[in-house]
Amino acid sequence: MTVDLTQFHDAFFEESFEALDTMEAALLKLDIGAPDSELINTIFRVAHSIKGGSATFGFSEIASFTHSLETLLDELRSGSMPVTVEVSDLLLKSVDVMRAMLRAVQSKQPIDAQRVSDLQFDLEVAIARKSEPAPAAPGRAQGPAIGASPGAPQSAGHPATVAGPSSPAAAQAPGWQIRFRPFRELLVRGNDPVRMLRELAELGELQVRIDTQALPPLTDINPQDCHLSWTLELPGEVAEEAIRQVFEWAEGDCDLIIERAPSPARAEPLPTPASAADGAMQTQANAAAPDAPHDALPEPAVLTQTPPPPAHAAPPRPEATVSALGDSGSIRVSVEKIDELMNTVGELVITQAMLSQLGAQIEGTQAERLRAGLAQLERNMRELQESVMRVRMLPISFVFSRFPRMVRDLAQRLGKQIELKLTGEQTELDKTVLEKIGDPLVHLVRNCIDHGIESPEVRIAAGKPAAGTVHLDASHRGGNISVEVSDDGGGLDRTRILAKARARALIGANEALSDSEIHELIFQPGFSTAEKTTDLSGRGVGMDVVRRNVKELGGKVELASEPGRGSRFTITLPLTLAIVDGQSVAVGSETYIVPLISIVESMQLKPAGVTRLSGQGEVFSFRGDYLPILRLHELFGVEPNTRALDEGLVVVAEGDGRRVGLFVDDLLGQQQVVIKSLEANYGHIDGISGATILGDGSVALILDVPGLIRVASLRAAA
Amino acid sequence: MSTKTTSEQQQRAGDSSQVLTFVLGNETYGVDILRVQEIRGWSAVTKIPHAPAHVLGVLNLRGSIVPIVDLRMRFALERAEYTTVTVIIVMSVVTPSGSRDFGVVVDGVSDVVDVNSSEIKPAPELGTRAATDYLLGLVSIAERMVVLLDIDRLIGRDLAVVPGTADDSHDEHVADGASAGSLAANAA
Amino acid sequence: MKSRTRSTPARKSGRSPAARAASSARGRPCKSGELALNADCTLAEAEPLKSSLIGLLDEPQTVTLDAGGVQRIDTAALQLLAAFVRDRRLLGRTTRWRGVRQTLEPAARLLGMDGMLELAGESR
Repeated sequence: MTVDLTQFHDAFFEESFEALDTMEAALLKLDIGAPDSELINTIFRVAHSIKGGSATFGFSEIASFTHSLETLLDELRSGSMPVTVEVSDLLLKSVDVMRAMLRAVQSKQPIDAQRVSDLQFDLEVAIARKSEPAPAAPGRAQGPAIGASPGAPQSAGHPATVAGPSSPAAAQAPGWQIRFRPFRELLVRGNDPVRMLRELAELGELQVRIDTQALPPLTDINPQDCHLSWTLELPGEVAEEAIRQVFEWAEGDCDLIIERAPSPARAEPLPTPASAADGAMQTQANAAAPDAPHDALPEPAVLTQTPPPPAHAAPPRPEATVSALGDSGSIRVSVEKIDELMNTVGELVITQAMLSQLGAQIEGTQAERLRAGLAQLERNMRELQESVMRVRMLPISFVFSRFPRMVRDLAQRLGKQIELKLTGEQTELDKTVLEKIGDPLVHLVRNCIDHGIESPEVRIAAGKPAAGTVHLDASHRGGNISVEVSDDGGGLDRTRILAKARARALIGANEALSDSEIHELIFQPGFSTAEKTTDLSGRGVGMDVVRRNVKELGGKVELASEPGRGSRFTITLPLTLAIVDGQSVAVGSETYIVPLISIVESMQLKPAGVTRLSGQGEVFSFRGDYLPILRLHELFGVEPNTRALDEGLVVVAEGDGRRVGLFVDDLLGQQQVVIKSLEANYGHIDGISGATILGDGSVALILDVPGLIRVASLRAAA
Repeated sequence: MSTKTTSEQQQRAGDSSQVLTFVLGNETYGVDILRVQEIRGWSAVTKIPHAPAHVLGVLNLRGSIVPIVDLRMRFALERAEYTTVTVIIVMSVVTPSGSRDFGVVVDGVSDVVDVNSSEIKPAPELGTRAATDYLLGLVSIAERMVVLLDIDRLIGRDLAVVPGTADDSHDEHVADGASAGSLAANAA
Repeated sequence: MKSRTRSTPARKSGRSPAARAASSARGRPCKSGELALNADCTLAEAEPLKSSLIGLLDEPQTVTLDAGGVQRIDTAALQLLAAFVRDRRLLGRTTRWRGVRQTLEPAARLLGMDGMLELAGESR
């Protein structure tokens, strides 16, 4: 009969992690000494909702910790405690600890209790130390609560919750705890909880805690439905049968759990975990104390304490467990569902293409109407596809938001002064791309801080401001997204890079390299110019990993650098991994798709333009360079229509900063294609990034140009 | 049989299961019907580069890309022509990296039969064990000998030989770095 | 930032926010927002009650709910009233009570709803 709460865990974790990100962002914006009350409120709400949620789900360690945190935040909010650097650090550490706790609980691992209690101790000390003594402050009376039971700080947090005088009788008998969760139809079946609870109250000193979390906004309530549930405590010697009798008629219309109260029933708060839950409040049914303040309104308390209404324009929905920061105008949809939708739309696009092909061949009086209809269908399909794509798009701020904290921490550790500038945060890109762009960006930003920005002394000596700037900028460029990571540091150190490359025998001792060739060096595996191994760099990941990750997303990394002025990395990525703009090419009976992002130009070669270099194969002259020719039919083992270079076409394609000419029979047309995985049922193929389904239902492979170049250079080397 | 006990067989112990039988050359083979996704006619496949010879290519199966294996070639039988009566049995195969769909080209589909586990006789040891460990056993149905196949072993092994699956990517990358110079020189 | 000018009231008085919200409302004149609840506040009358409450949800002035004439009240009606008071609070609006002692308050208390309904701030 129990309600299985675990089904809500995922949502709780997800929302809590998001809420912590928000809290962290707010903390970083907090001005020391002159904190913005809105920000403090935001932070408070996060702590509060995580406390409520974790209490509801019985994650008592988290509830206990967040309670201490909340107490501290309450002091900040009331202004009785100043926001200092120490406090701000303490709060940031709390974010980390809460994240760690949530992660531990989520993965069912033990919580690092020492770390938690250490920090909780620090929090309690900070509360106790606050400058202005407030006699009513509960956390203080409690004292540092090391290893305190989760219940203790909570009951201390809401002293006013304790309604009425304790009755001596209640102190002895064990009593009952009754969890009563009506089904929606309870009321229309003629059951009225008012009557039932009245009967229970006649059996003893009933304590009632109502749970209104499920109560929708007034406008959405169906008045016939019951949206409330209760946890009741009935102290003293009462026969279970007597309790059951009260619920006799409601049996089948509610979930009912009647069990012995865990500890002797008190006239004090009900068992702790849930007492802090949002929307749950308690009172003593028999205690007639109409003037007693009701401090058991956690959510409203936050809201009513900041008087001006504008701040409440989008109040948190009380019925959602942890949606303190949620937007009531949105819903949560699992990614799988969106992917399913994407797949179906992809199928529709293919079917529509097949119909269009068919329609073009049909003759007769109805043919025109059919074609008009098909054209309309095609437009609608395109719109539908775009709408669905947009559902998957998220602003890049989801990734950018982690940087303020990271930059702050790194700068502190390295003794550098760094200002982080974020622009274009609202630029949207596909969720899959978004998830994979994070690590490369982290690496680039670290690289800027570690190698790019100089120490304040060096900067001042160079006539620059002591604080360096790291700038992240995102923007849309055509069908791509471009993310720039730039700094105003020293730029790439040519001499050091060259020295290192020579030491590693990557280049000859006297080889002279152009700027772009030097830039190319830092993308080589294992290349790192960090003089000392810090915990930031030297972890065996280098710029080669950045490039590889970006390449896997079908994008590229470029680098510009000016000595003394700084450097700029530009990542260009497709907006989505689901669809690619492609050029269809024919080789024999096969059709391949070349992503447009990789194509420089297509051309027909004259026999005279081709030279055969020994050991290098065929090359042709293109804009002053000699580019190798890759014959696709040879690479893929396909019988071509022609082997004569002047009879086919050459597609000049670029990957990894290298250009090649892909020799094909013919160009067929440009189209957007839906990318299908080959790896789902088969495996990775070098030089192929995936497959797509053409209008006639057949499969075409999509070329991975950087991969092809790699394969070809391997062959040439062999 | 003791050497070829698989979980599939254990599940069967004591009760009967259904087997789809099909013909390949002179033999009749059988696979667990629960693994069969669909049976469809032949259509032209798209070749995939660097694939083993018996992996003919890929087909579009209701939106997913499914590799097609020619079982005649897999069993080193004489290759048959693909005609309109050629049949592809699409099966799901359990591999270490998850469940995958594969199409298998056979000469023709025969029947669905009930097989009791007690009727299954162990396959004779033919040559090396590795070559035949995809045989679950033999069963006699209507005086015909049916060879029961463990498709996970039969097809799953093909996945293991697919070039470029994960493990070798690192080596490749190192090689890539070493050869970068030659292409750079090209461009100069 | 923008809102720095806004004062944050210190939590000095021991009184609950609800009590304070209600007491601050007491001084203000209230004319437009008033609803006298029917004698029968039960499931059968819940639909019309919901409609009248929705009509007052957005009322910027303090709304006074008069429960003086209520003779019967059940969970269905209390649930609507609780949602009403809560939603108004979330909109930054105040609601107060009159004549609750006879019928409404005891029932609300049984359900553990008196705090949420802010009955404590009843003007007498």
